[in-house]
Amino acid sequence: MKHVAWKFYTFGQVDKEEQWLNEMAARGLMLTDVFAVRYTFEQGTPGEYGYRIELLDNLPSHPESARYLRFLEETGVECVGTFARWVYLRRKTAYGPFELYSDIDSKIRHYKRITLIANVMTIMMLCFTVMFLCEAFSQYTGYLDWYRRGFSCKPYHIRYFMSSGTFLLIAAIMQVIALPVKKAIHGLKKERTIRE
Amino acid sequence: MSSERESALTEAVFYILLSLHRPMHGYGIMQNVEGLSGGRVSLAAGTLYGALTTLLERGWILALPGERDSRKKEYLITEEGKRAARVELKRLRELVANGSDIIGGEGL
Repeated sequence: MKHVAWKFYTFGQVDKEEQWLNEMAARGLMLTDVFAVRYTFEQGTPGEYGYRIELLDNLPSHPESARYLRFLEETGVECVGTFARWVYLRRKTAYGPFELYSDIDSKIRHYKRITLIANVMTIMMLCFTVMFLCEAFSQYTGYLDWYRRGFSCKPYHIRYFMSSGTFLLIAAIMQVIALPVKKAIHGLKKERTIRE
Repeated sequence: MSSERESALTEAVFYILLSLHRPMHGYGIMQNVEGLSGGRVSLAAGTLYGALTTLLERGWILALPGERDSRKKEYLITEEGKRAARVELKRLRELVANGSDIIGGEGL
């Protein structure tokens, strides 16, 4: 019997999303398909599967990703869905508790792949911020020029300032979204000073 | 080459090198390491894949030619890998010797 759920998780909330999938599995609802915010579950034995979400370096169709996924299949892992570079994986708990990474360095590397998304977006947004700010000032000087000569000019510079502000805001939002992951990395790095 | 100060291997990598003194495939390595360590070390698939990739790049292990792209690709340690494992064993012996002297405990 199918059960569809709609939930929105940001790229910074992967751990929470995984936790939710595993909680559902513990209740007997196994994730069998995913598409963006649409999750499809099927009735099964409670605790039959463990779930993990991974961000690949490339799209699943890339040969490197295909090689990795094939390797995972050898160890009993199944792929229940993908979204861009994200793959939703599961494995029967009969094989043992399902973890993808057992050492700190691999875990840090995986989290860093996620923060890279935020950082790339942030840099793009900062570039737009600067571009629109430059245009805003240029428009403003033009506006002042006309004003001093006694003409009235539409204050187009305002919309450029506002756009610039919006881009800056998005840049900040990206970093805020990534916060939980950044905290996790920080915790792991501290652990790394004494353990592997 | 031998004058290079070589840093410690992770215990996962050490156990992988030990396992590959015989030809073995991915899942086999995971089970073997769990057996060797009495269940203490459980190699996760992602970690294992990363380690195997790096070990292959370094030439410490090689992939055995089998059917192309078959499931269950097998790996085997190389001479270079055996050397690295020996160096690591020497390091571990040094740690155990010092540890036993200072902390004491059951003989090994």
